[in-house]
Amino acid sequence: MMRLQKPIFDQATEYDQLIKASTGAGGISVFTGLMRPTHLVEGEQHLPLASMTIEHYPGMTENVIAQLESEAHKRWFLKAVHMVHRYGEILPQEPIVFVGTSAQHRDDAFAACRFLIDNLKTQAPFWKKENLTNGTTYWVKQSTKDRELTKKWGFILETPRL
Amino acid sequence: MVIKYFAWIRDQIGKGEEIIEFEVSKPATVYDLIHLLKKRGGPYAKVFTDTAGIKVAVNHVYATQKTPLHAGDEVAFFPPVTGG
Repeated sequence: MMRLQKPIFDQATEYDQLIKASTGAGGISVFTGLMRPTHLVEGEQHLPLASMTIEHYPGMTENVIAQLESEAHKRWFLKAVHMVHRYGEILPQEPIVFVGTSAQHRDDAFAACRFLIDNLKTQAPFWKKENLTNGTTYWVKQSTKDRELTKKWGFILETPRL
Repeated sequence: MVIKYFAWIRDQIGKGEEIIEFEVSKPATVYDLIHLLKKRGGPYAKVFTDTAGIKVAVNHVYATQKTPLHAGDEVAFFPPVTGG
C-alpha cells in the first residue's frame, strides 16, 4: 500500500495503519525519512534551508513504487507493506517518507524495509529542490552512495544511460 | 505525442509539457526525437548536448535511446531521481 500526498503525515497514525494490516505478524520494521535542515556545500559548510520542494511524475511514480512493492513480496514473506511519500513543500525536520513492513519473522521485515527505501531513492521519480534561507535554490543531485546501495539489491528498473 | 520535462530540465527548457507532432512515417526511436528537439536550438540544444545526465521514460516505463516511439506515446525527460 502506497500513498502519495502533499500534507504532512503523522508517523504514529501511519504506524497504526500498518499494525491494523499486520494481524499474525511477528515483527514490524519502519523507516522514516526526514528533511535535513541544511544544504551541504563542498568544504563541509552547512547552509540553512528554508524549505524543500519535491516534484514527482504522476502516474510513473506510483508505477515504480508498485513494482518495488511487488518485488519485495516476491523476495520475502511479508504480511503488509505501508508507504507514504510526500511531494510539494516540505519544512525542515518534517517527515518526507514512511516505509513500513511487517512479517512473521524480523529478517524479512528488516530486509524488505531496507530494500524499499534503498530502491525508492534512486528509481522512483521524485526530484528535490532545496530552498536556502539566503534565497538561492539547488536541485539535489543523486548520490553515488545511494546508487551503490540500490545496485546491491539487483533490481534495476531505471536505465543506466540515455 | 506528449513530451514532459522535470526538475532542472524543465527549468532550462521553460515548460513542463508540450505536444509534438512527430511524424512516424518510418519507425522512430527516442534517439530520433532527441535529434528533432536538438534541432530547435536554444535551451533544447543545450539540454540535450550531453545526455549522460538525463533519463527517459516512455509511457511511464524507463527507456533508452533505442526505444521505439509510436503516435500517442508520452515521453518524459528527467534527471536521475532524488526521492526518499
